[in-house]
Amino acid sequence: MSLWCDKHRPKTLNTLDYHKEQADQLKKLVHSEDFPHLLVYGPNGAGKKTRIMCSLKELYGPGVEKLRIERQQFETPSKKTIEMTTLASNYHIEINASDAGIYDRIVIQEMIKTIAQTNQLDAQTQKSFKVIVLTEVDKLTKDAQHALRRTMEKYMNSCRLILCCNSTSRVIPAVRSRCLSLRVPAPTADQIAMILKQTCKTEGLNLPQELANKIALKSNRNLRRALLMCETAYVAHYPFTNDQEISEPDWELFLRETARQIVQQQSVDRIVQIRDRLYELLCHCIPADIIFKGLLKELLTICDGQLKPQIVEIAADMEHKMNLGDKQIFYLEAFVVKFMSIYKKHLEFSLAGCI
Amino acid sequence: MNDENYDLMKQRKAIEELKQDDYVDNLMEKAHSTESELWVEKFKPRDFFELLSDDSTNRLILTWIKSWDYSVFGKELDVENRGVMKETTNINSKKRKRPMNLHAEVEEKLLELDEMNRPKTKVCLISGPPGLGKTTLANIIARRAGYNIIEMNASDDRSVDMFKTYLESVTQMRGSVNDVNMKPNCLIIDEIDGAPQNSIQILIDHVTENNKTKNKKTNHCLRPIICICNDLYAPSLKNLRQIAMVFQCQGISTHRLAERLRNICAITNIESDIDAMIALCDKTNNDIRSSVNTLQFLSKRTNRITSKVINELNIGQKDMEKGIFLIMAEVFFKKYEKKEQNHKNDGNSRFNAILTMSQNCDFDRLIQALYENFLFIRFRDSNFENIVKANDWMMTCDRFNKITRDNQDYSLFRYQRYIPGLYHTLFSTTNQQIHTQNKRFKYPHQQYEYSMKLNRSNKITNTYLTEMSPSARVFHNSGVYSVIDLVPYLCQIIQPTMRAVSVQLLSKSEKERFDSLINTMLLFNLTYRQEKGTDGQFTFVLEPSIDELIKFSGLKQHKQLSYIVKQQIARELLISKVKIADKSKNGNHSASIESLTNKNKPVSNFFNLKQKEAPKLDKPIEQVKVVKKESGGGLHNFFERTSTEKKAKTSVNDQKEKSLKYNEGVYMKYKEGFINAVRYNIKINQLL
Repeated sequence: MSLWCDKHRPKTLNTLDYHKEQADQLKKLVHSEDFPHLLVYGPNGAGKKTRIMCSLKELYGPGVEKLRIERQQFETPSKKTIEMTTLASNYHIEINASDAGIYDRIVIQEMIKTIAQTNQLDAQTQKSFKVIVLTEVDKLTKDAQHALRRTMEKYMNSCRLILCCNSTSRVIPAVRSRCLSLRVPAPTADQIAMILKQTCKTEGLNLPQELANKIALKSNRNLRRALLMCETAYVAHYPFTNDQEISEPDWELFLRETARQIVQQQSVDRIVQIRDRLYELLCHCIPADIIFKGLLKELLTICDGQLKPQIVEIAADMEHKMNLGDKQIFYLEAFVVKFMSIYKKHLEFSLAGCI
Repeated sequence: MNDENYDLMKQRKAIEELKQDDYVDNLMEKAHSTESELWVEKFKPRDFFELLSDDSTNRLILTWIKSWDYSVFGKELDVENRGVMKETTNINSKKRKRPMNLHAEVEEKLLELDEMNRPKTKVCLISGPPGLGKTTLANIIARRAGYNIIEMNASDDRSVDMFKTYLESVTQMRGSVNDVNMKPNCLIIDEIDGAPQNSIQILIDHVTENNKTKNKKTNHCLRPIICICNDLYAPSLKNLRQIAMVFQCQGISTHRLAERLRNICAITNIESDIDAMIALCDKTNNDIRSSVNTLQFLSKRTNRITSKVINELNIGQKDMEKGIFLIMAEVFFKKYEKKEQNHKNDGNSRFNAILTMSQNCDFDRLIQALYENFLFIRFRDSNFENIVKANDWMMTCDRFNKITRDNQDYSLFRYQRYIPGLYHTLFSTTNQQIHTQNKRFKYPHQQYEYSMKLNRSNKITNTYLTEMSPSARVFHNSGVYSVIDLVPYLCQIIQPTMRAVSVQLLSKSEKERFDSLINTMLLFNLTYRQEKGTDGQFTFVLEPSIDELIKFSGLKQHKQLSYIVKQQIARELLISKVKIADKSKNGNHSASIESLTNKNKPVSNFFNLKQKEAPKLDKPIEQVKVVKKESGGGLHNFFERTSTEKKAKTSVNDQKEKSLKYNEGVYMKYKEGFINAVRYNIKINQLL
């Protein structure tokens, strides 16, 4: 364990740094006789996975930390083989079914069923059930989610599911109602700053409070990113100084520059350039919804207050349409052009007003 | 000489007129035959001189088939014969003086014979758009040359087996006994671009005689084969194109076709004028078949055909495929024409024309092409309203597309086709300038390039995820969030500021940092791989190359570690991996060993490097034998592989560095004649 965000990750429910009340509840849940299916959701870097692993440890003991990677192959009805990588200990297995793309339904049906159907070998000394952790449930297709419903009820005796996702809005209600939902909110900036300080202390480093606050603010309340930022800062320059540069991911800088260019000039040539930039972002595996969000955030800070509601509405509309459609570039560009159109009209109007 | 020529010319002219008369007579006869027959059949040319297609091509094909005469009929290809052909040439293309030389050259090539007195090229391939009379041409030529024609077209079974038997029977055997003339066969394969690739391959094998059963004497191609296709560049014809004599039929002249059509009209007692006929030719794009068919259709309606009748006609238009570039030009440029010109140029008809045109091409590609090109057109749109509109349509079209594909419901397709029309109304200009680098439309490539790059990125992410050790993977399981959150920082964390000195010289705190760096890299299974650049310089490349994932153009590059530091890291990584593998010998970390054995390359690399330092030693060691004892577990395999590389390279010093914990005894055999030839068993453990 070498990255700070892994090295200093709490291992037990007792040592969690924030949301302590929730940790207590989880603990009670684990020790009560019936552990339900869980649906853990919350933003990135809030500590969902940490809490899941802590609960598992509470359930089964340190054995859950002995992990191995397993590969399994499935065959789709159209004779295409898909390989799934799973992460398993003796007690639980973790599957990211959305890796299988549109074939996730088959993975859910085949894999989870076979796991769920087999009982634990030694029921006396261990719990009577094992746990399947399903990550990125919100990316599962509707079909796959429907396939989950029945499995969840039928094999309740031998297995429990822990679903993990960012937002419940893309999880079908039927699945949601079968789980105990658990929201893990992002830590506040103060909490992040505190954790940063603490981490540095255990590393034997001295982190000034001001820098800690700065990192916490820049991290967007994403603890993982905060810790990574802090470590990067340490690697780049130690001892820490207050005005040290905190590096941001390249794609964010790129996105910000793109937004700046949109505001700077509204012309056909500019649209061509923006299109190239959008393509570049997309082909670096940056998801389109994150591009939308980033663009919107940047554009909103620049543009006039009157326009804000209109622009947010357009962005929402386009993003919605994008999810129904296929070629993301169309929607991103349509948003950019529409913004340009509105912005330009507004500029001309206000200029005319001035004169 | 001149006089003679003149005489000849006169003669020929007379002959030509005579032929023309003949043809008319023929037609007159035919006109009275049954009404049910299609005119296309009825007025089909019966002889070489009646052909409408380009004469020089006709003649070349004739020359080609004549060149078979020697091997087929045993006739000497004498000068006289040639003279006849020359004569026919001169009759038909006397106006074109210049291409004559060119044709003569081709002709010379055609007449080259191989050792069996057959022409060099055994197949000829006639290509051209439909309705030019290619099939007719082939038939007439073959008949004229005295062959029994055997035609094979798309309606026949063209599976591999059938094709083979057919080919052999036709080209190697004579006609059946009943055949009175006992003419030799000539195979005409029509519509060959539709035949399966394997069948075509058989044809090629047959013709080039590289059959596997070469001992069979009979397997020679003894008869001419004529292939006919529409699309010369069909992928399946690629190989055939190289070995065949290719003749491309050009479009026929409007004038000749119109003349012919008028003849037909005259015979069938239809009033017509040449303008009407030319209009008809225009309408059908000089397609003989289609124009004659249209004429027949019209004859049922009226006895008088004028250009007005033809212009009002809705039929007779062919599905002509037009290239994307042509359609784009049509969509984006308004041709400026005078107002008195006919109704063809008003908005409505242009819109319709574009719609029809775009129906017949690869629609998805057209849409993409329009999307990638419209921004380079100089259109008037101050507030981007038109672009917004076009984008709305694009999005709708994309959604329709998705729904169509998801539900297999193609009824929505009909709405998509309006997009080119829409683009025309929104963006078309009379200013025919395109603001790209070379002032031309670009072939749609962006989407393709994008998907290629995305694929690449996805592949990198996947390898990165699968290589990761399980303990790291628990918390960094998602590819997307790795790329967004983790990788940008990871790439910086593994490239700290470091002094480029040997590991031993690092201070304690520096050593700690170095160790943690190695740990991190091990955890994510990152390594540096040595690679030779294009300039011959060696560089170390991160593998899996996650640094590619975060590289954006136009942003300042993050600093890179120097070559030496990378080299050190790579070495240290290797050593740690060996150590881990060793430790886990008794455990069940088979995964880590597996990953090690895959990386044999850097191992040898490392030893090569070390060898340069080796000459310090003054005791030459001829051979180091690694005596292997049986050791259980997965480790066994690993050592078996590396030991072969280590042989003869290792030296005592090396072994110290290698820090391999051998349990096996190591033998050292010194060269005879040296003093103090000590021989005893040591273990690597003792060296560490």
